[in-house]
This record gives sequence, structure tokens and C-alpha cells, in this order.
Amino acid sequence: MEEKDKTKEELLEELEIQKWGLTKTNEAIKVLYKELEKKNKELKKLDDLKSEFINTISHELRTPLTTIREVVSQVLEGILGQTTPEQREFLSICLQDVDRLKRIIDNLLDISKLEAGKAELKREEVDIVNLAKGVIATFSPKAKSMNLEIRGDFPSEKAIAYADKDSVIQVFTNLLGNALKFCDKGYIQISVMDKPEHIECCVYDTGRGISEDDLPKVFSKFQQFNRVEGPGEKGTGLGLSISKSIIELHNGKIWVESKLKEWTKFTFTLPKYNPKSGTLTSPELPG
Amino acid sequence: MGKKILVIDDNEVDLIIVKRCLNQAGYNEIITAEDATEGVRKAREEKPDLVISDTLLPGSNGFEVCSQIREIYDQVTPKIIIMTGAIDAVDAVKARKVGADDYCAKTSDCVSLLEAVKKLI
Repeated sequence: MEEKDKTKEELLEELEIQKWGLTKTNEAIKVLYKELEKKNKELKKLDDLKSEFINTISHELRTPLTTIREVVSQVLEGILGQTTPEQREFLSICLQDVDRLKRIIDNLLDISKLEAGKAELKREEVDIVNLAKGVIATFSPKAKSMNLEIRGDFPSEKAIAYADKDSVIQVFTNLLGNALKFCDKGYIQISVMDKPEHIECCVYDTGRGISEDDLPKVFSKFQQFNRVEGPGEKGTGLGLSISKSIIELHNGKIWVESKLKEWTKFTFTLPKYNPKSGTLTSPELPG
Repeated sequence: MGKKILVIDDNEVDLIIVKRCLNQAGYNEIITAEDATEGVRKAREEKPDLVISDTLLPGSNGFEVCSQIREIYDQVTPKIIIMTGAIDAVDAVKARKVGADDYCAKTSDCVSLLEAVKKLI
């Protein structure tokens, strides 16, 4: 009987400890949850502040830059008096870098908008074949001057995507601009394919290629590699990051394949508008 | 308040935070230790009124520290709080079984820790 009482007492004590443990755990979880909520709010605030900061700074930087550009071009054009060839050469360098700075600021603004989720897509039905042909026409003179050819590969006459036209032009421009920068020989090819589930676009070049080590980094911000020092437009290191954000905002995918010193191929997908279901098809990465 | 508190935590930043919170709450006699051995030694030598120990310590843990301190002294002094950033019901029960007086969450504002301290000393 005494032993039985002892076991009962022990059991009650054990139960009491378990109850204590659960109560304490419950209290602690509540405290930690509150702390996490607070931290989350603080982080969001910081993130908003960062975007606002970039926005303000970018706008503030643009104004004096426009003035500088205007003044330099006027001097360069001889409006303010004759200039020597050497002065003109230096002023041209000035102008090139002012333009580069403007591109960086524009890109930073784009990125901050995309990251803040403030970039809104004006989606409509767009014929990507037609759009790609337009981009090729814009870039052809530049390519010709570099002894390069831009080929178009359009198996179907039309390829209708449900997308924001200007954003898609920006992606093509970024990819084609890159291809031109890194292609010294051969050709660049743009293809647009109307696949059952999505529209697939490729920009292929027979340029310098990207090493396996660098491939995973291509879509990161401020990444630039394989650039050979010399004349030509310097990039901002933001183009591919912006392109990725734009494509992902469309619920599409973008990826890159390459063979060093041989070729590079960027592929991205855009959703189609499916009039039957009224919903978008969701593109999937093959493989 | 004249109460001596020993804080055992291997994270230097956490030690500073806890120490500052305790100071602000009016506890000025704070001693610290960064591992279990140092903690148990200081508990023996300094005779604190309260020991606050983290659960995870290099090569040991807060429960080990707790039972070793209980072996040195009687079952009531010093008071012991086990604090942790990784809440676990099994740990809470374990803390109680090795003689801890409280088990609480480690937060940057130390609110729940201070509440526990005030209740015990």
C-alpha cells in the first residue's frame, strides 16, 4: 500500500513537471513569436527605406547629370567656340561616361522598382515575332558596323504572348546588347517559338562564352566578366538581373547555357493567354 | 539591489545584451562565464544569488551546468534560470528535472528573462 502511494506520488510529480514544462514552452513560444513579428516589421521598414533612398538619390542624381550632359555636348558641338581635336576627344570620353552613369542610375531605378514590387506590368496580347523583328532592326546597323550578322529564326509567322511589351523589349535589348558586346566573330541569332504551353525566346551568339564557374553568377547584380578592356560601351552589371526580374514578374523563366570560347544561349519563356480557360499557362523549365 | 547574478553564455553578443538589460533593470553585480567549466567554477567561488545559463554551451549544456551547481549547493540556492533561443518542450522538462527554477526564451529585449529574474530574486 505504501509502495503504491509512492508510485502515485511519483507519477503526480512527473505530471506536474511535464505540465510545468509545457506551460513554460508555451510562454516562450509566444514571446519568440512576438519578437519575430517585431523583427519582421523592422526589416520591412528597412527595406522600404532602402528602396525610397535609392529612388530619391537616383532622381537627385539625374538632374545635375542632364545639365552636365547638355553643357558638354554644346562645347563638343562647337556652339561655344572652336575646339581642338584633342579637346573633342576628351569631351567625347566625358560624354560616354556621363551616358554610362545615366544608364546605371536608370537601371538602379528599375531594380529598386522591381524589388519593391512597384513595377507594374501593362499586359496585353503581344506578337513576340513582330517585336523581335523590331529589335533586330534597331540593332542591325550596329552589328553591321562590327561585321556581325543578326539572324532571325521564326518558325511560325506569329507568336502571341500575354506580356508587357516595353518590358519584353527591354529584355531583348539587354540580351542582344550583351551578345554584341561579347561576340567578335560569327553571328547572333534570335529565335521565337510558339510552344503549346508558352512562347520561348532565345538569343544565341557565337561569342566568347561563359565559363562553368561564372554561369551561376550571370543573373546576380553587378556581375561582369569576360569583358576585354578597350573601347566600346561599358555595361552596368545590372542588365541580366533586371531581365530576370522582368521575366519572373511575368511568371516566366530565364536561363543560360554556354560553352566557353564557343557560344552562349539565353532562353526565356513568356506566358500565353489562354482564351478558353481565361487563365495563363504556366511555363515550366524543361529538364 | 545587492544581488549577484552569474550569466553563462558562449555567445559574446548575447552576453553583452543580457548584461546590459540586467544593468538597466538595476542589477549591477553581474559576473559572466563563456563555458560550462568556467560557469560552475564561478558559481562555486562567487556564490551568486542567481545563475542564468544558455542551453547550448561548448562541449556541454545548461542542464549539465544546472545539475553540477545543484550538487555543490543545496537545492534552493542559487536560483537557476535556463534560457534558450531554441524552444523545446522536452528541454523545459529536462530543465525542471535538473533543478532549474525557470525556463525562458532568449530575446533581444530580455523582457521574459527580466520577468523571471524579478520573480526569483
